[in-house]
Amino acid sequence: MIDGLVAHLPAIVIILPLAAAFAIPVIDVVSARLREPFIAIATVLTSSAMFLLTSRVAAGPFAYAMGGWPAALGIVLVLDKLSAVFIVMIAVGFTTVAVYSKWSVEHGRSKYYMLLFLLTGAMAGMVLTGDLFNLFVFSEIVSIAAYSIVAHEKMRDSFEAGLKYLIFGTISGIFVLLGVSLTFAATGTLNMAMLSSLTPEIPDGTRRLILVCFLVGFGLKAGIFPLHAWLPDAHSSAPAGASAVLSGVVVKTGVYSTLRLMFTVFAVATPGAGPIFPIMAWLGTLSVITGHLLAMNQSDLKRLLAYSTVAQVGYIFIGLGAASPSGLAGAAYHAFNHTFMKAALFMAAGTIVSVTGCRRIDRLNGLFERMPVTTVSLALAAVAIVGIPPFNGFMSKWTIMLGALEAGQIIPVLVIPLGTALSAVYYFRILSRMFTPVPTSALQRSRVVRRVEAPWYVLACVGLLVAACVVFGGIPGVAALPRYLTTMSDEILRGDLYVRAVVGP
Amino acid sequence: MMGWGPGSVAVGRVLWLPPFGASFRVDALAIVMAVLAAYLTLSAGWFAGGYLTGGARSQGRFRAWLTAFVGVCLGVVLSADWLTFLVFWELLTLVVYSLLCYSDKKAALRYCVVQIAGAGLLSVGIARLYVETGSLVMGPVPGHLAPFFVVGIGVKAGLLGLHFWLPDVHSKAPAPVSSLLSGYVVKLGAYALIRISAGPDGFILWVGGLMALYGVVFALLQHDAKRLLAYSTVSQVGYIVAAIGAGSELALAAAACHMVTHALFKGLLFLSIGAVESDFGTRDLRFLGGVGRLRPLTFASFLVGAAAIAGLPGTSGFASKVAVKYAVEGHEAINLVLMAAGAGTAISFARLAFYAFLGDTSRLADNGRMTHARPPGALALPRNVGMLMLAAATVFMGFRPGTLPAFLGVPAPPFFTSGNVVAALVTVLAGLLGFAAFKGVLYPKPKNVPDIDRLTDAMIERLALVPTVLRMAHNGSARFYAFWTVAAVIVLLCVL
Repeated sequence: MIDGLVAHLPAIVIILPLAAAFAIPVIDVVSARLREPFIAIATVLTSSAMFLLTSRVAAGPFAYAMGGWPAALGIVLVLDKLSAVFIVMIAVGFTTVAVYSKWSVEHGRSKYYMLLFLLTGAMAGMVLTGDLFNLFVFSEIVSIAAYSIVAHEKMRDSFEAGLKYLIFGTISGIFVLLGVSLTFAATGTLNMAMLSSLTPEIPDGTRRLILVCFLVGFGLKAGIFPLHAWLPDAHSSAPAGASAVLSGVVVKTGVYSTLRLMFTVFAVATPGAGPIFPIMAWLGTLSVITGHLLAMNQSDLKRLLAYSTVAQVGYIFIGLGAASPSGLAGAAYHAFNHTFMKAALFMAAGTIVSVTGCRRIDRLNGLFERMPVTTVSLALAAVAIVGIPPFNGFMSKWTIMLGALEAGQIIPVLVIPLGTALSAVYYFRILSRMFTPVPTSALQRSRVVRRVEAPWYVLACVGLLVAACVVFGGIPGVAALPRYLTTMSDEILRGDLYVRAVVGP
Repeated sequence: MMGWGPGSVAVGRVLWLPPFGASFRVDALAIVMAVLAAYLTLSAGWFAGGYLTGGARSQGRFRAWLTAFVGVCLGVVLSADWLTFLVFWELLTLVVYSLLCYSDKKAALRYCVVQIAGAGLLSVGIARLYVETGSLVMGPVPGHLAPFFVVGIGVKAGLLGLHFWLPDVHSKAPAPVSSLLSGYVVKLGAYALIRISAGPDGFILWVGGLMALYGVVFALLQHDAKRLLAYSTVSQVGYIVAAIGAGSELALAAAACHMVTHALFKGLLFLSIGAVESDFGTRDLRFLGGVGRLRPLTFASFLVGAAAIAGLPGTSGFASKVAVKYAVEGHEAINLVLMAAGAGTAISFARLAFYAFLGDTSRLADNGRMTHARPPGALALPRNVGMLMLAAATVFMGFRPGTLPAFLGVPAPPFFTSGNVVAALVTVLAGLLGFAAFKGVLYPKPKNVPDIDRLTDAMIERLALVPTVLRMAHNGSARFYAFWTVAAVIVLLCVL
């Protein structure tokens, strides 16, 4: 029985959260008392299924045929080292946010959790599916859930942000769909593994058009410059937990799709591929600069964090654009690290906002005296995201730098430390405010007069994420992750393991 | 690595991120720097006991940061590969940032950002070194990567042109932190320069010579006592850099000697001015005067430091300056420049002593500082212990100048020859006479003399417009954003 379930894990991690999402409103109608236990159980089951699934990756990529239909006819789910990294990110983001939201979301809990489960299931689908059309469908589900969760607080700002997100998400969807249909018209199949041998034969002009469609479509989802304009609004207006999952995980699905398409499906790493990789590196470079510069004069804490996401996605694209072993490893490493750092930052910021009722950075003076644990967590996560060694942010940026050097791209390499210095300006400005001992009158007037922390499980969530930031920076002995990432980038660049897992030798 | 002292002792590699490991090395130079870090921090810690205002908790936190400071500095000087070095180098910035936050947040932020930018440049150099050679062992670097290393390190050492942050930050820090910054952190830059030194280098030699002169000229023009000391640090680091540029084994040892002695006496000078500032509420030479009579022990400490920095025989400054003189032997022009800088140093400290400590207290009284004067009381003891520690070391090294070279494993040059002593005395005398002659010109003026920092400030101000302009492009209109998207698609289609 258990073995039977384990064999179906790839399907379970998608179906379980989706089913939970549809069950929550029904249960809420039947009996509101059952809702919270149901959410708790579904959360535990979903995250343990995800972690259990990733533990199976060591044996190499393996495919799961939905309903037993072979790859040519049905839909396959494929777990390789790359998708396992993203499954872990989804699981971490989902679990911490689900626990955190128990405290932070007071109204409309059934709707909120429904959207969160929907988001999680669809994201798992995006990173596991081996079918191009399926990828499009799941990415649309992610988007729909994301629009609604952004507008969850029902304020004017959040409606506007949700609408903006909707507009740009739709544009993104159109481009992805266009890319998918062009690919199907040119090759006659939508299975990624099969496509990888067919795509080199697509005529050059069509191939370019398809690549642009996918780059724009998923670039919009990832929030890469100059397609990032919707992102700060959406990520800063969402409820705190949703911001964490949007910035920490949802934008990474755009990164994942780009990576999967450019490397596995279109195998453009082959010589004569055209300038797609330098272009990605350039987009990343510009994102880093724009994101950091825009974050610099934000007065709103959450908006600042949102702009910082634009810059951090830029680093990831620099790594992708390098298309070298270290570059890919660095890109995945940074995406992974950013989940922890940004989720911790958004949750800590959300805690501060809901306890003090104030989002402005210049009113944070003396916060350390009031909320020591949250403040220190936020400070450590900020130091990590700035890229001070030996925290994880430094290590992944360093790997990306090595990758860009391997590819001979010197300008992105110089922009990485520049970005570090720029981000130091705004993150350290926040830190000096928080640790200034004298509280301003603004903070005194607010609800906080004594030490007020969020409940222990909220602190534990943020604390665990921050602890991960320290550990994944390479505490001696935790060397397994970088080694894993190196083999992962080898696997992606070779490509044949993935294909063989799906279509057989 | 240079074959110094009792030979290099490599101590373990800790497995870090494969293929990188954290490796550490202990050799004579590293030991000297490590002991220096501990000694200076101890004295600064004692001094802080009588200097910092704020409750026991704030004091405790300050001490905790000082302890972290020692730990991180040990990491910097003991690391044997560049990546480990970089880790501690950046952590040092973080610790110093926290220490600086005790007085001036703006200066702290400025220091932090400038240092992180410098370390970023260094990290590019290190990454290129690794990709090209596959090795991260600390040591001389290939010529085409040297600019990354020299500039990246130079930001910390305050090399000429890269010192724009230094006077501001060193003068605004709390006095014990100033003493650590000027005494030690800047020296870590020089230490790293020693590690990448690959023999004689004319460029570094001249950078050092010019720094020595540049710093002292600006020191002469300051009215803020701590700014004066900060510029004098630029000048003294110039001596060290010049010796590193000379490049021989003896010269590197001389550089190390001057690093140690300067750390001790400049730390001492910062502490004594800090004591004055905390008692009388000002460190402005226009408002001070006659402090020597009111605070004789502080004055005595100051005199020891000033004598040492001027190179009076019998103090540590004399010994290390003689060593540097031997180091740059054969470069007559540099030797002349350094002698001129020595005379200038003597003038600037004669001036500092005259306006701050000598004369009567009328200026203090005129400006109402006497009434506000904080009685030293119980605060004096910890402060004096801190200062005496450094003064004792300064005098000891003056009378036993051969100790340090012997430990570093180089033959000690003859220090107390009549030629050296006479030259030193003439320099000091020239300084005193020079001050007497140009007293009118050197009267403290109310304005800071414009330095390169004006230029960088103006640049930063212009650059700060960029985010504002960028922000205007993010006006929140979805139509406008959609236009961007379309433009991006068209551009992508064209270039792909």
